[in-house]
Amino acid sequence: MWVDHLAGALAGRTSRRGFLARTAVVGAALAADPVNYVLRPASAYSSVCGDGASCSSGWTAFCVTVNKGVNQCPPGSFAAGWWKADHASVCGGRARYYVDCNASCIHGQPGHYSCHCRCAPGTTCDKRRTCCNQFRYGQCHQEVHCYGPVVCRVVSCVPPWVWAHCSKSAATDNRTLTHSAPDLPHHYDAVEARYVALHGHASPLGASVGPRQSLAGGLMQNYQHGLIAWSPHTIAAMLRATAVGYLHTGGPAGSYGFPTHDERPTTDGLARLGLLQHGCVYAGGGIVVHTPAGAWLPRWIWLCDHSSNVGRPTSHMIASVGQGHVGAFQHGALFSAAATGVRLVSGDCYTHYVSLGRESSPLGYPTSDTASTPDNRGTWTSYADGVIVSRPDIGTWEILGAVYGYWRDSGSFSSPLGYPTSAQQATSKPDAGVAHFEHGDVYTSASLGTHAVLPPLLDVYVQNNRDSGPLGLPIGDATTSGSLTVQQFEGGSITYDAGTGTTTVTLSTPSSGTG
Amino acid sequence: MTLLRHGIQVTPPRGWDARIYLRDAGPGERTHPILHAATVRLPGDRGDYGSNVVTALGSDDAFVALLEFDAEAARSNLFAASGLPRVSARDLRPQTLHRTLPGQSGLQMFFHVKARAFSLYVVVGAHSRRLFTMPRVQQLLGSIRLEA
Repeated sequence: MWVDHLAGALAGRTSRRGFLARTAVVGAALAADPVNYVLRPASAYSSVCGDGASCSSGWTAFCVTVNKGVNQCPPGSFAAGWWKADHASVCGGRARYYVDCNASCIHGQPGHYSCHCRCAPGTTCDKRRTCCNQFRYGQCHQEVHCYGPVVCRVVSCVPPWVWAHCSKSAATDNRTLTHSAPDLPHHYDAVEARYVALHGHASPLGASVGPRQSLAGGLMQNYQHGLIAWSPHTIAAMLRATAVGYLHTGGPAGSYGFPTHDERPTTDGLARLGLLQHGCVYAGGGIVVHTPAGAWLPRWIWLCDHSSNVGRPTSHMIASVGQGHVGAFQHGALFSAAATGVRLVSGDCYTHYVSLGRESSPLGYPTSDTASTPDNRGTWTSYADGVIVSRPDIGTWEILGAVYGYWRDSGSFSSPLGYPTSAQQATSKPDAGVAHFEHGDVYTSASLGTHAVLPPLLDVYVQNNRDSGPLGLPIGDATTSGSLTVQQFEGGSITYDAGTGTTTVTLSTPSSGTG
Repeated sequence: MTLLRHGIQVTPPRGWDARIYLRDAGPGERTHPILHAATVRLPGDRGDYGSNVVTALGSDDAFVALLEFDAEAARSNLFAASGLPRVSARDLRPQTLHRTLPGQSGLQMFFHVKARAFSLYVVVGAHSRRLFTMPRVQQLLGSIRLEA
């Protein structure tokens, strides 16, 4: 930050574009060589771009200057030779290597190439020339006989024979030690040390792109295939497939902070994970999603590691109703809420949950993972005030409120009712509902309570048009005394005599029937 | 005075300063002998292709660098030419320079002698004076012997 402020002040030593360009160069100068820049009568350009940075100096420009910030031979050129400058501070005191990119001959014809001699374009201080010097160091691509002038120079702290088709036959020119450009590193910092340890251009990251960025108290460098980020509290960590997702979160300056580890493959090897100070990024199957840190993070990571369970994540982990969070997967979703914990809903239960409105439905957030039913014939998920039960032969149904409470208190799957075979349905009475189960019905009414009607009484109840008939709604559960089982209804009762196998309907009004 | 080191022999004509040297190899590198000759005094901190020398060339001065490469290079397309090249003033081009400096011109040729691969690089201080300078260069090159 101090660099930003100081750069703005010092850039004043003269249109908007010019000011911005100067400010950028001054900022880089301060970052590269603050003592010399402030205390000695040198321009920002010379501090950043080093000796011989003008076009008339006769040297060739750096590739980062003429190749959109990419420290690589641009199209139409090839690595043709290299030299080194010893004891380079930007390489930790070791040699700094320069690879000349010479223009490729078109159709192998000498003198035919796709560039022309000029000064490097733009507002950069690296005003050196491009495509002017017909010269070749000669250690690289010796199979190529025809070559044009040097288009630009790639630099690296890693020997070129490691990452380019070059021999180890050394040439030295220490005169070029200070040559540089704004988009090249100016310090041997933690990012550069890591990049070198990864073998620079030969690393999975490829060539650097753009300048070193000072962000959020740390550093970040973009590369062709990823990035390295470092802070005083985190290692210089490499992200590749997850880099785009990380930058989407704001990168180091965003709420996820810096990477804490190198990006790693998921346990199943199908994707990549980038672990961050305050979150995680997943990349795989053509999708990149992320999650902030929270109670769900270990579970989210585990699911990403084992995608055979509910498939790949398909959405970011996002805030939802009731201060909860939800992240979707191919075959389910992870839910987290303070009151209900971290739960995974999957399969048919999840599909049904989605159809009901998921966490915005009356079910609210799940209180359990989706699990097998005790008899392993189906699956179920419980919620604060309900349940979804799925079995292939009877379908997937939700039970809510009083009916759910009744079923649960009756022993749920072990109850006489068995599995639900319908959601709660309306009855002939406006304040009542009914849910059907394998072995009975449960009626619920605000005024009459919740009661099951079970066989054999149920058969007679059905014959008498259920709640639409003269019996109306049940007002209590069936009671058994000796051989007699009796259940009271609004309009009468049904009695079953186990001794005779007969069922009798007794109505409060004169009309009556017998089952 | 004849110099003979590392299989490179040169007898610099009067007015030439010549050196044959072999740098210490850095980690992983291979180094090979280099011949430098110039009609100015060769500074100690010169680059292998003449940095810190070419800037000192006057209009009638010249610099010659002969660099050897790995032996495998001798079989490559780039070094396909055989024998130390015969050069003329017509070979000099203002753009054939490691570093383009006003007025100067140069030439560069890759070749092999037996199993040894070389690059010959010549800079003259003034292209306009090349007809004067080139004979001096030819005289120097004529004194070079490369052992197989």
